[in-house]
Amino acid sequence: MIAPVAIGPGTFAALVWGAIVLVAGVFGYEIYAVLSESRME
Amino acid sequence: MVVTASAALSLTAVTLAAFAGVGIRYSRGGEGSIEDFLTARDSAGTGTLTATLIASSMGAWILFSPAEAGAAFGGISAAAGYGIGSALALFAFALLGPRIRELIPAGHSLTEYALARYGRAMYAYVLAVSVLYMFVFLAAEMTGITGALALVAGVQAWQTALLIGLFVLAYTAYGGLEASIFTDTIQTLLILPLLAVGFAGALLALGGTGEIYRTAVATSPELLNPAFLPGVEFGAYVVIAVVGAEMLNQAWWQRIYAAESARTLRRSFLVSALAVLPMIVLAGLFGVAAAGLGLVNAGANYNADIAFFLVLQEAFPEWVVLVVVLLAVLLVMSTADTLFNAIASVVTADLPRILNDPSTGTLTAAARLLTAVVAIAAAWVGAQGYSVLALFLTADLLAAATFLPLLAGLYTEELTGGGALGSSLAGLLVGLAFFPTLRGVVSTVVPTLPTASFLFAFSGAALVSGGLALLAAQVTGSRYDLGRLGHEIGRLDEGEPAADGGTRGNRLPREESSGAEEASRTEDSR
Repeated sequence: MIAPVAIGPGTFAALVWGAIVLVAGVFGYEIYAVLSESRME
Repeated sequence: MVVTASAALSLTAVTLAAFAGVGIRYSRGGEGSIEDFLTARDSAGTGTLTATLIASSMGAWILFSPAEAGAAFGGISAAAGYGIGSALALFAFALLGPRIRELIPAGHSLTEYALARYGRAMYAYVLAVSVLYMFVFLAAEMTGITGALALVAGVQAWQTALLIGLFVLAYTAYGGLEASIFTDTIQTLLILPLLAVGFAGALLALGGTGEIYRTAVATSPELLNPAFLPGVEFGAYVVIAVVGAEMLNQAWWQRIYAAESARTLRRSFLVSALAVLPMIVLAGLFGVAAAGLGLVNAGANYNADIAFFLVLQEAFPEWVVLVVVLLAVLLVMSTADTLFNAIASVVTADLPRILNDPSTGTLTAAARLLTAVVAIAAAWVGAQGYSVLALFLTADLLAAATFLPLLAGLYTEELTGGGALGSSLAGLLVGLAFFPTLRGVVSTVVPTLPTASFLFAFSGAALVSGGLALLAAQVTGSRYDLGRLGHEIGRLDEGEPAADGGTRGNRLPREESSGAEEASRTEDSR
């Protein structure tokens, strides 16, 4: 049986914080896009 | 309890009342036509459309299902499967949406497309599968939020269900899709930072990623192994289940028309696909953390379905819990308003075929009444605390066996209604043969069944239905001119005065259209 190979702690941290940063980035994009629409109206 | 019932209820009521007020205020003074109510046609720019797509995708389910997948169904690969499935569905609509707008510029729903393209039998089948999926989704949302507030604050299920049902109904029945999209925009602008801050706060409260990692590796290292077979298997079938079901979700078909242009549509669906992936994976990692902390039980005391909240109860400050309660309420509102309107719109778009030349006022009243019926039914089901998992899986299987033949009709003229329905039913039979959930029922008809497997059930249903649809398109003796779709499906307010002084729509009257459809189908036979 092949022993389970877990991802390393650095990869885990990168996955978690990368996801949080990506969510924050989408938030920034959303603010920009919604404000741009409001200005155009 | 982590917070008091009165604090959670007050926060919930204030949030709901604020959004109901905003939604109603936004809708006042609008044109209020049936077209606005059902499709908000060409009204949403990139920011607004992306926001409503994110808000509609992200229901309270992300606090339950991905964490359960992470804790009990295979760890990070299972959670990733959930995220990829949800993102892939939105990505698919970025490709399909412009095609749908091009072929059916005045459309409203997937069922009117099914009727025009494939005839009555396939229409009835698609209507049943689509409404079943959306209602089960809605019931699961209501059940999820009532369960969540009961868990963290001891709020009675009926109180939560009644509050959410009434307030969301108030602005959705009044303002329709336009109100839903507007409130979705604000909700997304709150959900995204709450999710980022709430999750980051929770991680820090648990001691940071290093501590979570060490605990998980010590107790359940397989959950952090991306090649862990049960996780990969779950991840694979959940992709098919989610993609198939979302293709039959009327909410996306409505938003294809709500986009102000095909370019906006493509960009918004792509950005929202990019947004939902990390949100779901993050939620799934909380399940891994719960398992690592030894909070998850199997067997009679199974609790992986509330893994996220088990972590929450562990050692969190009250402000994090209140943030999550607010987040959960926003998540359920943004999805419930979408589904109230989506289910009502499917039926309303079909009413001109049932009623004798209804006025747009009658259609708008019917849409509002249907919204109320859906809201009351969903609130009632949500207050009962049923387990809807088996129903959800069944609806997903039905959708997995349906979506490829249904969507193939957008690209091939050779596939007939009989071919599409036959392919779907054949795929469904194959899926049922492997489907673990309905084993008892199916085995009464077919005593000898292959080994139960969700992966074989979902992949079998999709591959067999899709393969047979391709085959049926090759051997059929007739063809359907796709150019007819745009003529057969028109605006619901056609004939009413338009803003430019002319009249709207170019569709034939329904009866005439139906007759022409049959005649044309015969003429097209080769």
